[in-house]
Amino acid sequence: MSERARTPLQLVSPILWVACLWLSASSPVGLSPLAMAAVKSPEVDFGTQVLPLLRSRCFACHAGREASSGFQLDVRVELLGQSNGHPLAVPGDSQSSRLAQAIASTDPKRRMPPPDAGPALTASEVTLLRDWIDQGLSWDDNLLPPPPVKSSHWAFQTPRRPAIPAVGAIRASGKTGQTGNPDSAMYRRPSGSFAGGGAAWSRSPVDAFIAVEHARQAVVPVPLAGHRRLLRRLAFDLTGLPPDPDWLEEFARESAPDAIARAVDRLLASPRYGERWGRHWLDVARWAESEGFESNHPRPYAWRYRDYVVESFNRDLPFDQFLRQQIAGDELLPYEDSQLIATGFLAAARLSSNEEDKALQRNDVLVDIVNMVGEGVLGLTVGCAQCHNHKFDPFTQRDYYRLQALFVSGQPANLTLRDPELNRRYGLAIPAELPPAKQLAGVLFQSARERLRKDRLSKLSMETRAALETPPDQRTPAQHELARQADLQLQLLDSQIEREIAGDDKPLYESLKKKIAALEKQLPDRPQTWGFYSPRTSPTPLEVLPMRGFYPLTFDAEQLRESRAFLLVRGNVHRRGPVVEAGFPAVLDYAFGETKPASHGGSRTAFVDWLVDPRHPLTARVWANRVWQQHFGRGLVETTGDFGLRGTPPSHPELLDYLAVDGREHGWSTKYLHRLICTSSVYALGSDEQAATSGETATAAVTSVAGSANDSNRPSVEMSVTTSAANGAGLSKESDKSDGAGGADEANRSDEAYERDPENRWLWRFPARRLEAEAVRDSLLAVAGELELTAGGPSGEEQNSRRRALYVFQKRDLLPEVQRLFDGANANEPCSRRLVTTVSLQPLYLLNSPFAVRMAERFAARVHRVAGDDPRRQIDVAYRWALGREPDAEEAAAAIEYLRSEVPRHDVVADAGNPSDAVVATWTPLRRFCQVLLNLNEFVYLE
Amino acid sequence: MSVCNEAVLQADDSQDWRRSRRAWLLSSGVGLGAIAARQLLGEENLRGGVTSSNRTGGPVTDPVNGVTTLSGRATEGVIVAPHHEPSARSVIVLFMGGGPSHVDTFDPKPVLAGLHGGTVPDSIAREIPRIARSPLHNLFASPFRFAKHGQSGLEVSELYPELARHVDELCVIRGMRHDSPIHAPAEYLSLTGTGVGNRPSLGAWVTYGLGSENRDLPSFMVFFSNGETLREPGWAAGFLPARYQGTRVDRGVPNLALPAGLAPSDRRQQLDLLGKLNRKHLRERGSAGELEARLDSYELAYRMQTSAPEAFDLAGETAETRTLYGLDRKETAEFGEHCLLARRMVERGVRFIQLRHGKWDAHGKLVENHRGNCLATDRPIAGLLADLRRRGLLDQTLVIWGGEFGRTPAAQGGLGADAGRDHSPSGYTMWLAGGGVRGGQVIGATDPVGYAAIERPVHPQNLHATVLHALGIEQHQLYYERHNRRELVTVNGAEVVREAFSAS
Repeated sequence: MSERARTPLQLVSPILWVACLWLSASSPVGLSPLAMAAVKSPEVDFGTQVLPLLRSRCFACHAGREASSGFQLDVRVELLGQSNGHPLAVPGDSQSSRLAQAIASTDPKRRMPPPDAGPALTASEVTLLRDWIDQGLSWDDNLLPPPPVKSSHWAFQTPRRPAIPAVGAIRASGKTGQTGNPDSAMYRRPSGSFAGGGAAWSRSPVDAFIAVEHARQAVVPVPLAGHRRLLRRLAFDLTGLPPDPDWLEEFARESAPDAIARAVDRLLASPRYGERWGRHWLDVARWAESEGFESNHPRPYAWRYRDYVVESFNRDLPFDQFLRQQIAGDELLPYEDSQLIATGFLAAARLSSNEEDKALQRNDVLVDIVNMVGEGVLGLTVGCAQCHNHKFDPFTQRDYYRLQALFVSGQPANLTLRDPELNRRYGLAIPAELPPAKQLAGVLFQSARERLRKDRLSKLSMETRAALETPPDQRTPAQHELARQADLQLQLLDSQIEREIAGDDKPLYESLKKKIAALEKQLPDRPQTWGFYSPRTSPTPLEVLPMRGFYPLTFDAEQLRESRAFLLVRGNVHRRGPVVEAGFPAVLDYAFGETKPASHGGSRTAFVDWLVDPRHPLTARVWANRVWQQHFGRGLVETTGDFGLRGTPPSHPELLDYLAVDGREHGWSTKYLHRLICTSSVYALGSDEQAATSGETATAAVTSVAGSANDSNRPSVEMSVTTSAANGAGLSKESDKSDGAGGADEANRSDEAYERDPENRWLWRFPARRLEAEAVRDSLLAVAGELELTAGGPSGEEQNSRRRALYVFQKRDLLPEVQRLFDGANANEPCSRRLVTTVSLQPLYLLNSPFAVRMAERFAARVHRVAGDDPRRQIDVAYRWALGREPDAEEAAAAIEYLRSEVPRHDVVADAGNPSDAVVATWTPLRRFCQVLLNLNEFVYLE
Repeated sequence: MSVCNEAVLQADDSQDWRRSRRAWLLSSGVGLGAIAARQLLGEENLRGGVTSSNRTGGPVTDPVNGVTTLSGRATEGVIVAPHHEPSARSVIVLFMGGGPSHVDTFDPKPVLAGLHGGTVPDSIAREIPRIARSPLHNLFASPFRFAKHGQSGLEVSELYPELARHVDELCVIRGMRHDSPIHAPAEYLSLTGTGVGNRPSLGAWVTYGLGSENRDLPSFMVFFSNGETLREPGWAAGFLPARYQGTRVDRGVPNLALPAGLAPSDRRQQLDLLGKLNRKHLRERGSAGELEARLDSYELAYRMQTSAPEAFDLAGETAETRTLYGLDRKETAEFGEHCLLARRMVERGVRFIQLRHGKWDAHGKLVENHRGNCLATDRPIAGLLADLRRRGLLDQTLVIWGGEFGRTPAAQGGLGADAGRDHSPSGYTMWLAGGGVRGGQVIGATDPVGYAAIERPVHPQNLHATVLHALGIEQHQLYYERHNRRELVTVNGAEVVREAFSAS
């Protein structure tokens, strides 16, 4: 930090020095810049001269965090304007330094210190400070160290593994120290009989933290859910699809102690798991398959990143590596295609290829990337600091541009892949005459381009050409503006260049072009991906393919290599402040203790090293919290994308830290976290707000495995043991309708829980929630027997595709109907949590859209194939498939009545566009009934 | 139940816009019964977006807002009482996508005649903002004649002969100005306040703030015609819950028609069974607000199936009315139908209607382009104003006309028959009518050639503040908490164009 002035004292003539003193004493403001430049001043000493002066005359008001008007003269970077782009002192140029202007002003309204704070500085004091600025603003960090940015905010402190609270006789049995990917063995932990308020069901560390809060908040959890509901919950939660009906039947009869753990393992092993959890991550990555903005060109290879994400979840790629590949994949050695594809995370930014202003176009992309990484990975609303220091968090505008500097040398682009097989197949497809034709056409095109460019250049003014020849960071503001204008004139459209091809070349070029077009029409695209690549920090030279667009984001490797980040005043790309080097938010340095993150020259690999460092306060917490949110519908920190001072505090801070640290120590395994959470009792809680009344439960046996509970060496509480009705031993497959509730006593207790905690913040029940758009569509397809499970590859169209919603083309601003109607992520910015809204356009979709009508039809046909014409059997089969259970007596009665009643259908013809009798006949009672089932709340809710 | 209703009536007597909803609930009594009553109570507790005290269900709470989303059961907005006396209840935006030329329609520039083919004089050039797409050469005098009309003597070009008869209703803002010369960002600026395209559209904000007066129809409708480009942000909900997004209805409400072969009686029977089973489910699960809302949404959908076709059915309109809107002519039929539908929607309490008419982007062949587009919209717009006026609706309906920008006074593609104009965001015209606006006046001015707003410049955000003002909303009091920031319609606040309104 410390910079000593380097003006050699011996060069300054004593006479000049005296003259200077005399001059400045007589007329401090009258000294012309020329005179100043001619006069060499003696070297100013910061410690003995400047600091005492600043202390005695300035710091009373302008020091510390509460500095008057925000001008902190005791911090060098503040003087340099690095937190807001408004420098107070420009090293080497006191003339344009506001500090020097203020102290020398003769206007009492402008003068500093102001008249009411004492006399003006003396002429020699003014000169001293000016010299100090002109000599480079020397500083001594020992005397005036940069203030450490500290914050006592919980989320900025390194998480530590908390002790698992003692809830009765809970035993974690030392399993938590395990490293590496966990195997299911660790879930076969013994469970004890736990005493204590409402904690009898506690069977995992997760439960212990939850149970402690239950006791503290005096809420009693509802009974555990029955087999069927639990498996349905697990299946939707982990795979986004209803469970296989046969499996459900099997599971309902399960009494093995490790049944849940096995079910979780089975679901996690399914390829459907990655499709479900990958989609959650794609929300964060604001991923889509088109550019957005005006022209919204498709990105035909964006699916490769989607597949990468799905596969990464499926093979449980450790989250730290997942981040490393996505943020720095182009920098990693040895080079691998999959790592390059992973950078689609950064490249998924929106891009306006109609933007003429190239600086703005590029900056918009960088802003998009920084804001996404900030919210998605750091859990901070860094975007707020793009234009000014963060209003709530200790996060400066400089911090923002230090992050931007990590990305400034790279750009999203179509990048070729090296996969030998892909390239071999591509190579085979190239006709022999194509390469020479392209080469010749290229020569003609390039020479025309050069001619045209020269011509355009020659028409520019001298000043403009001079501006262009000046390296960008040395341009004056006027030159910068000139260069910007000229840049536009020098952008040549292909059509303009082609017009320049003249003479004999013209017919030749035209015929070549036709030939190439014809040949290329049959040619597949080069193997490529939409990724992010920095020619400066990537050790692997990559080939960049052109992108489409009226004004595409041109990939100029030379320019990128030299690019630097600037603090942009008020976020305006055309108002450059000081150059900013890559770095991390200063407030997080503190958590790293004495060791400051090493200098790294904008390497994103170093950034990831920092992110996944065990001392990092945020990364693991944000990760664990996102996982929790998807399981429970709400994060332990509810504002999943904002862990800052104004984010919601965690409901269970110790549990959050436990998951973060434990998950990280288990090799950053996301599946480990799933297992930890999904095998807990809190996850298995019933979802009802109230325990059913005794009338409802009379027929429903209580689910329990009391028989095996005697064996204390084996896990016992796998299913629900209700606290007050555990005597009702015996397993029942009929248990699901009432969640195995235990009578009026239970009802009263959960009513009490409701009164105390209506928002279910303390998780006394499992929070039911509507399925996401994708799961709604996928479930309809699944139940109708229509779902096509082909994984990966290019996306299809919504109407024709029978594949999962994940594989329907994601065009920005025109996302598939089901996603628009059911609160899908909009892909314009990271979506940390989806909202749930309920509007009447949703039922219209589920009742009348061609898709929903087709699904009802197929579902009914499928039921009919199995159940034939027996209404009771039809009802039974339809219920099992749609809802994973049998109908109870009341439901069966209603359904029978419906199927048997013959309502006169006199109004068919008049209102439905005169369909033929055949069409009318297709709406059999069964089909109409099946459509009703697919519209039930129970069908679209994860309970 | 009657006790509940009385209580509700007393509690809510001042809320005009809730009446039709309540009236329906009170009169219907069919199918919903006790649920309807409970919901009424629930809704009264939902004022101002505050969580109701009755049992709420799953994660309906907006994570960033901390406010329970109102779900389908409420049509109220978050504004309980208007901040001041509103002068409009509904808004119709006539959006001319691509950018209509102001110098050929509402902003006459006689000076251009003398400068035709020439260069912008230095004195004016200095005022022209440095927007890359502002060519200074080849000035292009409007090929269309302007004339004074009405009592106000406001000038309109020959392109809008029928609309010209209504100039005394128009408040023409000639100093519209922003800084984006590119369609999409400019459109987003015009309809969402910034060029990024991630903020809620004005219609979404208004629906969020005021709700709808008609539960049976979407409260924010968007109609597309003449090949207008589809760019969702202009009618999307941005960071507001999705329920506030506009509904594209140019072909009617989506998925409204019963599937072929299914009878209305079939559907009723289906919904009865559905209601029965869902209510049973609800009983067992506890009374979850979101589940209830979903039950209700089915009944709403059912009613929409009955009422929306009626709202969209023009069969009952007289031949005179159809002619008034130009439904009898091929050129005007499409936009005329949308204008007529807009009036029908206003009558039915729809809050915000956006009519999009595309292909105004006349980079070439301006004469042909604007003659065609003006012909297609002239009679329909004139008909709309006349019809709203005679039905007493114009005083409650704010009508806004304009595009994402205007067009430059200089030509593109030479001055021949192909002459066109480029995008001009730095100075262009929009006009307001109805909704308390004082007609027959001009606000602001562009420079003598029509490049830049030099007098009383009005940014789209100012216009948004003005629309809110007409609706009785103080711009700083309608907000949505997000990332700890009170997000405003006008982003950081903007200026209401007060002189647009009649002194009252």
